[in-house]
Amino acid sequence: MKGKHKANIIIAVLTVTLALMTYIYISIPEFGGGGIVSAQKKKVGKIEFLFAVYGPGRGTLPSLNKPMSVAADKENNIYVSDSGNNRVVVFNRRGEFMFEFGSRGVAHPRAGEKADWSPGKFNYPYGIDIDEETGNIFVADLVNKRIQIFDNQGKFIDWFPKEPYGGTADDIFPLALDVRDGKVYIANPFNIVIFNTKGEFIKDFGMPGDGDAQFDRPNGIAAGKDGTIYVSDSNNLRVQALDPDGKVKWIYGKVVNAFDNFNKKPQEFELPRNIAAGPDGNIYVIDSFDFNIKVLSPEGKLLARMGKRGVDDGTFNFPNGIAVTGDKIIYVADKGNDRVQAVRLTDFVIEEEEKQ
Amino acid sequence: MRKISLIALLAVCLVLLTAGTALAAHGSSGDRTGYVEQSALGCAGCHADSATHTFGPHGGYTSTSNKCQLCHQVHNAGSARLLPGQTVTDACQHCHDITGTDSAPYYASDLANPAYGSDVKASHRVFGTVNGFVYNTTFGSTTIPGGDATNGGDSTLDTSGQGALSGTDFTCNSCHTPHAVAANTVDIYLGESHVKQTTRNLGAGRMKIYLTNRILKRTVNGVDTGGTYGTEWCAGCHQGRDNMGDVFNHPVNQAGTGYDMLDAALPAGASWLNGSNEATVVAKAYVMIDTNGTPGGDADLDADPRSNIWYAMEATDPVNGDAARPDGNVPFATGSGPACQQCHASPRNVDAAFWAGFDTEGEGYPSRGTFPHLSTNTKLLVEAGDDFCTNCHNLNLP
Repeated sequence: MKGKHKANIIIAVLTVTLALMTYIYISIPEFGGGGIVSAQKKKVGKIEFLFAVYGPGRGTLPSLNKPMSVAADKENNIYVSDSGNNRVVVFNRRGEFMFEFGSRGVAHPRAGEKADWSPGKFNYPYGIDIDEETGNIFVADLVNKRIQIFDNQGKFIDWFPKEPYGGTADDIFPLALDVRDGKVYIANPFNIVIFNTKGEFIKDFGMPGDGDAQFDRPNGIAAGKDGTIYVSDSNNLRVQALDPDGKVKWIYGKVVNAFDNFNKKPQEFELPRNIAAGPDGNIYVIDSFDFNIKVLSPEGKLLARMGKRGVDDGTFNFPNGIAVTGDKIIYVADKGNDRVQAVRLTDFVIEEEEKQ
Repeated sequence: MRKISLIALLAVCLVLLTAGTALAAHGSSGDRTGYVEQSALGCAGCHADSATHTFGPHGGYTSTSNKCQLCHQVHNAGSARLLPGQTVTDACQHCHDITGTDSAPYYASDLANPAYGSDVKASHRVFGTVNGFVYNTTFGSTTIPGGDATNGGDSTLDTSGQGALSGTDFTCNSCHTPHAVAANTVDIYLGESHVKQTTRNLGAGRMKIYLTNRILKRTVNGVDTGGTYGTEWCAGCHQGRDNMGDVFNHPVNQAGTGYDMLDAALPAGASWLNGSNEATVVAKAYVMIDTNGTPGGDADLDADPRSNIWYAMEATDPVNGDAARPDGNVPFATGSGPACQQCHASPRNVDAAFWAGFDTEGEGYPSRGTFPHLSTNTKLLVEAGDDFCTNCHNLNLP
């Protein structure tokens, strides 16, 4: 009887230990395989690597999965659109996990299936930006065809458009967004739509094509201080700068027919995706297929082409998202490496293209 | 004692729950690493033949192009295939995630398509992870509807010819081969999607229509389909849908191609493009259209690229008896019928197709290029209900 009692105690201790270990594994970042993985500063050419974050390091999804876009607020906190995990993850300026919100919810289900979307759920969240005035978080919930608004703690506030928005189309398919001066600029697959931050429609312009003010799946949009709208016209391999009425000011990059000229170098862009307007007025573009950051002047002149492909700190693998803080720290959503990197360009350099 | 048992049970449940998440991505059968196949086949398994006949990122590799690196990473890759994903579909999804294109959305059955909305009623669902969710329990089924030639029932997909990363599931690699090696693919055929045409830098009345094989495999389900995209290609899997077999099915033209509906016949009053007298598949990257009175010297005057817009029809409109439609007045082959692709294709308004001009943006044109990935019609049919049947069948028949 005594022996049996002892055995029971041992089993109980082992069980509690096992449960505790499991809890630690899923709750403590250092044990969960995520969190800050690399914070050893180094230089890769003129790129200064500051740190990389690979995920919250806790919970059932400790790691990022295809982070497509990134945004920064005035405190340099990092907001990641963790598209593959249908959530937003927020880190502080040192890369420490702060909070996360969102899970998968489908607003437009397949025939025969029920919609399970509710506020705060996503189906492939993509574009993300912060309203500097309020700190509210705007998320382009791509496949649910809506923009969701959250407060600076991730609490759901509202979404739009709830009905045909009043422009040239009934709904939006928001790839990228930018929030500035009370306006929300949205890049749709073939046009640009502008709302105010309450979700009220202001205007839209653009159409499919490769002419001026025509677009082919623009994956980046940024508004400048002077109201200029910079669009990363991705499949047309160019950046268009437009005035607030949608009239072209300049274009950098050339349309090439991919069937004839796919990825033939040199090209201005291999595949420009997200774009950001820096505090210096320059335009920062992520070139996903060229694995680097390109910087354009406000007049559309190439100032820098920096970065190379890799998995090491300071290199990129199909980078897709970019945000620039007030002190010119650059956050890159390094999609192929499932991480966000913080880097700084110590100088503007037009690096030679590597021989492949 | 009960309490201890309860604690033990809860702990085990907790561990199992955690393990489930960790193992979810590897939930299907087969070798997802690629090492086994790589070891068995060596480098020649992928690189045996450099002859490719397509373009874009898949194929056309030359000493001056930079395409390999877009999919493959030499060091620290996600798999032994040096691809960005652990599975074939993961690798494909890396680019084909509808943020850049909807022309080949491999998981379009799961994502609302901006062109179609979300009303998807039929699709070919492949194995893969979508938005972090593993669908191997419901997707990637190897059951082929109508795959049994003897009774028209289901059969099981032969996955032996697939790459190791596909495992034993139905994946993108079941139908497509990413390297477009000529010997492994069907011939290029006349595309049906407006995304492969351009008028850029071309004068009025001129247009380039690009031709592609859509990197479709010649051998599917273990069956060599003959290298042509048409009925036989579909029947490589759906063998029980053949009308010449043991099962009664709607007639199909076994030799019918999925792109050349015009053959050599055209109703009076209609004219061929480019002065051609037949719709022809040409083994080149594109066809140059020039509808001007005096075509340019670069115009392809021996080929009419229109295809898959028209149907094999009666001489008059079967519903209202109108005069011969301008296109598609093609007699059936004896004892035969239409090609599979005449009935199964991207949704469109067939009547509009007959009466419209050469308008690749029009409602009658299969412009969205999603077939057979998804359809807003059931059974991947071009139209629904009687509107579909009466395209060919005369209502006045006894």
